[in-house]
Amino acid sequence: MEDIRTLEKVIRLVAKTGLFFAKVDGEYSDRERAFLQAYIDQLVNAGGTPEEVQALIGNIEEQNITLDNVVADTREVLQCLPDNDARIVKITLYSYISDIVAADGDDCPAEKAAFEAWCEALY
Amino acid sequence: MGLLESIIRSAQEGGGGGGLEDILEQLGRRGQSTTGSTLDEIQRRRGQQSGTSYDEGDISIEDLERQMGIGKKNGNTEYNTGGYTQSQPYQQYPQEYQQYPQQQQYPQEYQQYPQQQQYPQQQQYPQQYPQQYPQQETTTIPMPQEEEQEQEVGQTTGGGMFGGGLTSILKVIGMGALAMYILKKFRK
Repeated sequence: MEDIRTLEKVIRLVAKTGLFFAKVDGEYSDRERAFLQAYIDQLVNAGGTPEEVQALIGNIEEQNITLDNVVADTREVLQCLPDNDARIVKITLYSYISDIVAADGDDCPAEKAAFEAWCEALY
Repeated sequence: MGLLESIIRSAQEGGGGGGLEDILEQLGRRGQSTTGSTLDEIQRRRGQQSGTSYDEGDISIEDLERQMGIGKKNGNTEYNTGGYTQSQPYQQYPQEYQQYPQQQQYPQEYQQYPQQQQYPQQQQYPQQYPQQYPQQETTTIPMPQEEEQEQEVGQTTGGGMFGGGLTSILKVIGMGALAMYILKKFRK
């Protein structure tokens, strides 16, 4: 983990965060799985991630991701970045999660609780 | 312009390509409709004021943070003491845009990394065309990529400026979130 560079950590964090919030409402359909895989592939391509990180990301789906994991990884990534970059990453993550949580139009308590906990932990 | 229209337009325009300003603008637009409430609630519970009004066109990091309730731990006074108020026009913050000059300064990203997006496929074909992909070539190709990536990460973490790599990632995050929106919107 120490060898993974900042950019790769951002990629991994985004994948993890997306997966966690996609699953948190208890529904994780094949379409969501296919989308996330394609999305992660897109991130990997954009970031030029080395093979070992691709393999790591490829296994994320099988990992049991918790909110604590996501928060800890987010803090780790933010600490690696200069202030302005960290702020942008944080804003982007916030908006990213906000869209995912609000996407289905349902006021899902689990999603809302997880999102609030994420905000509480990071702001 | 609705969210879906902005997605389509963005896709038609090739994802924008304007770098950080595009990201900020896109986030700002989406922030108007979908963000803010959760942080506002937390902020209210903490007994702090939030600045949720948003004037499209005056897009800055501070505006986005304020609009989303970010930076609330120090309250609005932090912005005021720094000379920023939301009513001040965009022209008073030119240095912010100069700090993130967009992709014109990173054209090499697109010239240096065209292979990156193509080479992951080569792992799938060695058995099928072993004679066309000799071992020597596959082992030498990753080397320059790694060097280029080091340079990119250095830009990202070095001077507080967004490197091309991180900007690309953030743009993908933005588009991915929009795609997720569509996926979930039409799933039910």
